[in-house]
Amino acid sequence: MTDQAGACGPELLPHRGTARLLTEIVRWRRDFVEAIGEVSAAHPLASAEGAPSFLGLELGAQAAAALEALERSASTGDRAPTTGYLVRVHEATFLMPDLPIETPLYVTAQLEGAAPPLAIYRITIAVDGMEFVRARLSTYRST
Amino acid sequence: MSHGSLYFKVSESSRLFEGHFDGAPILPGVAHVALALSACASRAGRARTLTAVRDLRLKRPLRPGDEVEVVLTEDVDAVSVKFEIRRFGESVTVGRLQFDPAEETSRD
Repeated sequence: MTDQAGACGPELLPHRGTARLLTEIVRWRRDFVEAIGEVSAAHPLASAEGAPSFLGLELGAQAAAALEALERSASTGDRAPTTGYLVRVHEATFLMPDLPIETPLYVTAQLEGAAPPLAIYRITIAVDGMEFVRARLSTYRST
Repeated sequence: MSHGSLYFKVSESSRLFEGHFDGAPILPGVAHVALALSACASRAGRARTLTAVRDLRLKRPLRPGDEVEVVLTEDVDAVSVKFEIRRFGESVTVGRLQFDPAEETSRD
């Protein structure tokens, strides 16, 4: 496991403002990342009840993109973020209808396979040890 | 099996474009799901609790001002809805939404 915990800064993701859900990298290795995210109360999909659980797919995609940026930075020294896109959700299960807002969301992304610029990840989102979302998704990284 | 189409305009001022991405705004993929859910709620006349998404394919981006058609097709099990988002007849996104079966059957 690579010891590079820390804030998820602009060198990892191009998302800004409320669009940026990922806040902190807990740990990562070549094919796996554990991170923390949060949905701002000001997010356009948030309400007093929370945020829809499917927003966890965006958080998972951001974790996957951050992992790719960390790996690229470690291997080439390139610290500029590239834009990635969620292109497919093979399957996603929402175990709770809403994600809490302004609350740490623990996200993991496990790389299952890649044929650049496409990659497949299995992601999970949990709150206080309780799983809220699990999914398998594909991302596309622009060059 | 029933069919239905609903039409939406992606507002140029939607806050979903803020920070996604600077200088090249596109609608986040999860917002395509939100569009399909809005269409499902509109057709059902009530909100429905989403429990799963299957085989969602985001084929083309949506940008500020895009006008889209959301086509819904209910599966035979009545708790799943297939959808397609089209822009000028061109397929943008397809997928299948699955709703809480307990909630759905209690309303039959």
